[in-house]
Amino acid sequence: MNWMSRCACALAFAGLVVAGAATPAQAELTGGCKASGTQVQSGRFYDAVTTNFAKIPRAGDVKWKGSVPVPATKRLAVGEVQVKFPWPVGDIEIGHWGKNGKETGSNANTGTYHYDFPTLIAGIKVLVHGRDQEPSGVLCKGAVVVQIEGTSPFAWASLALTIVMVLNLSLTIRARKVRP
Amino acid sequence: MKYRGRPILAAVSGFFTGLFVALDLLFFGAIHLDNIAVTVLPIVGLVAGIVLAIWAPLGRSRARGGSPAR
Repeated sequence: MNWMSRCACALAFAGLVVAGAATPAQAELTGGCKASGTQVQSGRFYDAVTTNFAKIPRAGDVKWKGSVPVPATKRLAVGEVQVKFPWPVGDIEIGHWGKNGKETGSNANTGTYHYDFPTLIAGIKVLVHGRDQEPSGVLCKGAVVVQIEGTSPFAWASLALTIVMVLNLSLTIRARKVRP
Repeated sequence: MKYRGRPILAAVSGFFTGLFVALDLLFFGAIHLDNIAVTVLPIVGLVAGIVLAIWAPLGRSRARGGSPAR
């Protein structure tokens, strides 16, 4: 096998690993709930029922509103929002409601949320998902992939270190005579 | 005559090569954060490093003319 064939095999294998492990397209908001937001700085509008990907500025404000398809009576609605990390870490909870036994009396809410993410995580595609369980049996689930605009300085450092490590690997696999 | 690379050093290099390739894919948005490749690529790199070091496909003609390994 010549070197071109070996390189082609290695590239094909790497491609299969990445393609085989690719995350499937996520479902939108289900269960009859509604949620939407407008990113104030960019003016972009996102409807959670139809959106499954959002590329947002690193910092800014979001005017949001949400509702659940149940009457506005006093009840214990339980839910959470989680960020999905690779195995073996799994889901990390970033917010929850109702788990402390606190009841709610409303079925809709609005607000403006200010956020400011560090530049270091720019460019990473993160799956954020959540659910809301109502005592009446209504269960809403939603997921969205969020990417912060720009490129992390870590990206360039990582690229440089990849080149260094490939060169290092090529040196360590060089043949040397060994006694039988 | 047998030829071999440096399996332990290659395992370490392979692990970090896989790790940084995974980080490149992550930071440049080619894969999602929850992608299993982030975990798998460093392990694939480690195993590939060991296999390549035992196989030692590079520099055989140079090794034939050089001094024996210590």
